[in-house]
Amino acid sequence: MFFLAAVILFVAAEFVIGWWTLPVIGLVLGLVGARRKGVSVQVGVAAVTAWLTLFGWTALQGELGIFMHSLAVSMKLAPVMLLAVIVALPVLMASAAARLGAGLRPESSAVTPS
Amino acid sequence: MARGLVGTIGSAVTLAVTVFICARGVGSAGIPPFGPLLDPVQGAAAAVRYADLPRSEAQQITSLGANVRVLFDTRGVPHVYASNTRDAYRALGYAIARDRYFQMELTYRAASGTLTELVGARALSLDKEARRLGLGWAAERKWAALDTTSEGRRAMQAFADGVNAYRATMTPASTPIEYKLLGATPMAHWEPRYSVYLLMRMALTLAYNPDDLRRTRVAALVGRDAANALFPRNAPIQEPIQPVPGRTAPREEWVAIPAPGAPDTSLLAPASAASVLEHTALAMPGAEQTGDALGSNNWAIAPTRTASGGALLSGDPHLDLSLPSIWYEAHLVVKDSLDVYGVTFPGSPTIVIGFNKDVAWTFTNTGGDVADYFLEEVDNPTLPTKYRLDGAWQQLVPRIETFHNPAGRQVGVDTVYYTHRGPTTNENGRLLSFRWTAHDASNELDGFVAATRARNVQDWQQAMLPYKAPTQNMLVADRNGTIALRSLGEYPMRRNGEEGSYVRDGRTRASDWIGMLPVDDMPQVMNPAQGFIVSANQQPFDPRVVSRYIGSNWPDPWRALRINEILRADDKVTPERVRQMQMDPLNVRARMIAPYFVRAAERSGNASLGTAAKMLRDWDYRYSLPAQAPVLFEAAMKRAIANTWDELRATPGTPPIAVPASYVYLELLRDSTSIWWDDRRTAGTTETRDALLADALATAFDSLTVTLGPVGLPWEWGLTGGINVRHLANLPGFSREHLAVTSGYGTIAPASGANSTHGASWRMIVELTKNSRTAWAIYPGGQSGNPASRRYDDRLEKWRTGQLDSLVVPESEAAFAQSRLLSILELRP
Repeated sequence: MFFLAAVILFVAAEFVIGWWTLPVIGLVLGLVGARRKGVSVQVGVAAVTAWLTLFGWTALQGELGIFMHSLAVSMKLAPVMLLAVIVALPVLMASAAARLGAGLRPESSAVTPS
Repeated sequence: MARGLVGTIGSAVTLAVTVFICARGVGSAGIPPFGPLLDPVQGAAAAVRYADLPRSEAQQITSLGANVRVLFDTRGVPHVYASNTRDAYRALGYAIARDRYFQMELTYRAASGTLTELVGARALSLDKEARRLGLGWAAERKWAALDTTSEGRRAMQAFADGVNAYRATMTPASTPIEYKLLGATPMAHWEPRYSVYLLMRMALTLAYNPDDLRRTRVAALVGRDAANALFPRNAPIQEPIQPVPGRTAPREEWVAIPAPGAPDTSLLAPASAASVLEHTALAMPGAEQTGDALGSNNWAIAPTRTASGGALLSGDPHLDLSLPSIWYEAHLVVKDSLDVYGVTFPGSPTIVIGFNKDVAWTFTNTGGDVADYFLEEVDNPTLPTKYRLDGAWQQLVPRIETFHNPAGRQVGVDTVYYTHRGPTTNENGRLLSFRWTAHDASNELDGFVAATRARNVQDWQQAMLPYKAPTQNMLVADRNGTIALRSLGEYPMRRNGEEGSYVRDGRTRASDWIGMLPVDDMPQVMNPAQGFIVSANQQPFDPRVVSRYIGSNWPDPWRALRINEILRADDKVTPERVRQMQMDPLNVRARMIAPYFVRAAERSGNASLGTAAKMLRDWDYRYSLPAQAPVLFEAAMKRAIANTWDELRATPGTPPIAVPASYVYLELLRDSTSIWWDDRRTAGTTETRDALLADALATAFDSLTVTLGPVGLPWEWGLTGGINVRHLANLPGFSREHLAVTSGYGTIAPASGANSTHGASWRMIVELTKNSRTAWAIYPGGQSGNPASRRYDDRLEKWRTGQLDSLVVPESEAAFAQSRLLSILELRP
């Protein structure tokens, strides 16, 4: 439930506001879910799931794959590297923010099963 | 506890670093701001969502007088239906901005020398060059001198209204991808005067040709007689634009090229030649280096020589090819007032090349001598404040040029001094001032705006009279069957009939221009007896017929020779034949030069040259895709030219300071023992023509065998040549490279060789009869500047293979076929 809510929150926030909601939502989710085991991993996976969902939504509207390939070439990156960056970016930001959020709560050491 | 704290701090650091990099990027490492770039909703991917035009859309332009409907056809061309012309320009501004905003900003900034404000300090040298050439200074002068009630100025204002209306709707998601990659923000406004900057940019491309500098530098190496022969006033093969009545073949007049003489630095006294020799930044490469691709063709055929009995007009301006294209195609309709179709530069408010109901027109570059450099005597070579003129010191006018980065921080400053002639450049304490017709106040747009409404050739020519720069061969045809050409623009006249062949003495006003050539004295022709007019940048007048000086060192005449040759042989020309001509692969340059290689190989007695000689001997001089001989010929030519002009290298091992045109090379080929054939590096041996050519052919053949393997498939022109159409910002993923084309240096559809980036930027054919206008055209690229759009490059393959699109020109909305309708844009006040 936490994971699904996190995905929805990320999708909504990114859709309306933009990429920088990743650390903000991540931080909030870290604070809220501080007692959960592996909260930062869950938040990171939720963030990338949301991120890829939105890319999927864009892909439905045009030839995203071809375009991103051209973009990677223009950035002088191997396409697989660009893909790696696309995946790593939300994971890194959201999970680091969640861990920070969890760390800011003293009781975070007490773990409850998810 | 401590472990948790370390983890928390580690997370904070990771987060801070990641967010910083995502938000700002790392410019020094070439890492863009990944956050906004990879944002799935508003980042680069959003380009995909804006790839197609919406089926229908309504927007507001507050300055509109009435509603305007813009119907986009299936080729992405906007057909603007407005109730007054200014509304039409407003709508055009909106449409172009929607498709090409980044291109508009980039072009404006390149001309104004403000690229640093978009991309930072890495563009500083380009910006400094633009400002030292006075592009922005001249644009400001032109703008300030414009009559505020002039049609041209009003058109620019209306166009800007439309652009800015679009800009106001731009969202992070719809922002062009290039800005996201640069981490830049699109400029907030398009000022009307920016259109003038674009004209300055075109003037730089087409009319900045410092032949005087080039010839002065060459004279300082090999003497004035040799310099005059290598960069001659007149081409030795005459097929002039202004036809000579009764002449049915080109006229040839070959002269011997004098041997290199003693260096002549007298023109530079009291300064030394060194400063000019070192003036590399402004040096233009010679013809063989640039190839023949930066030129244009146009020709018109009178009804007496066409199958339909109407006039036929063909035009293909050759420019730098880019994605998106330099052109934008549009159709503007105002009932009972305007119905014009054609192409314009993104940023220019009206059609530049095109046709209306009655008249069609197109341009080639004239390439007249419209610029001079003057060597000035200054009071202090390191920090000049005055220059001497007729014995008295005159104040230099400093103009402080400042350069800023996107954040507004100053990244550079430059002082450009102006004399009464124009901007100066300081080379090792020697000041050269620059006088250029493109700097003069003018209002070209008044001409273009009025010309779109012309009813016949005479109207059109009258409308274009305000036009000044760059000088253009303006070809026009009308429904009455009249065809005409005038090489219009400002041609400076110098005292006592002097020519602007060398850097001039700045110490006296006697060196200054004394006026401009009257229109009646410009090259022109109307309804010639031969029934056709051809311009392909060749010398406009035959000097045996008209001796007045308007320029020198004319581009090679190969394309003109071939076009005239075809038209003389055909008195029932069809649009299809014209289309084939635009792609004709026969190369007159090769036809005239290749036999010299063959004979040299045969005379050499070198059996190993047999295959190479046979390839050239059996060749039909066509640059068709499967042909193999063009690859060998071009490689041999490159080596032969490099070995021949060794006298034009300032120091051994450096490139020649200039390379003569290939007709001069042909002139030299006629003299088998000229001293120019001698390679100075081989002391004790004096090479002859045949020895040099045979060696060049053998070396080229051997080199190709090493790189391509034995003669066979890899040698085919279509596999080794090719044109590159690169993205404006040179982004490789958005570029299209190595396009196989039947083009070479000298063919009608030109390319400067393998990996050329120039070529036919727009091909157009218009047939005008009493009752109809029919047109076909194409350009390499597509209407959209969005690389994710199908319309980004949807015309490229057709262009490559020489096909043309049949143009849809509905006179009214009612006449617009639904099957051709892609999108509707409704603009409201």
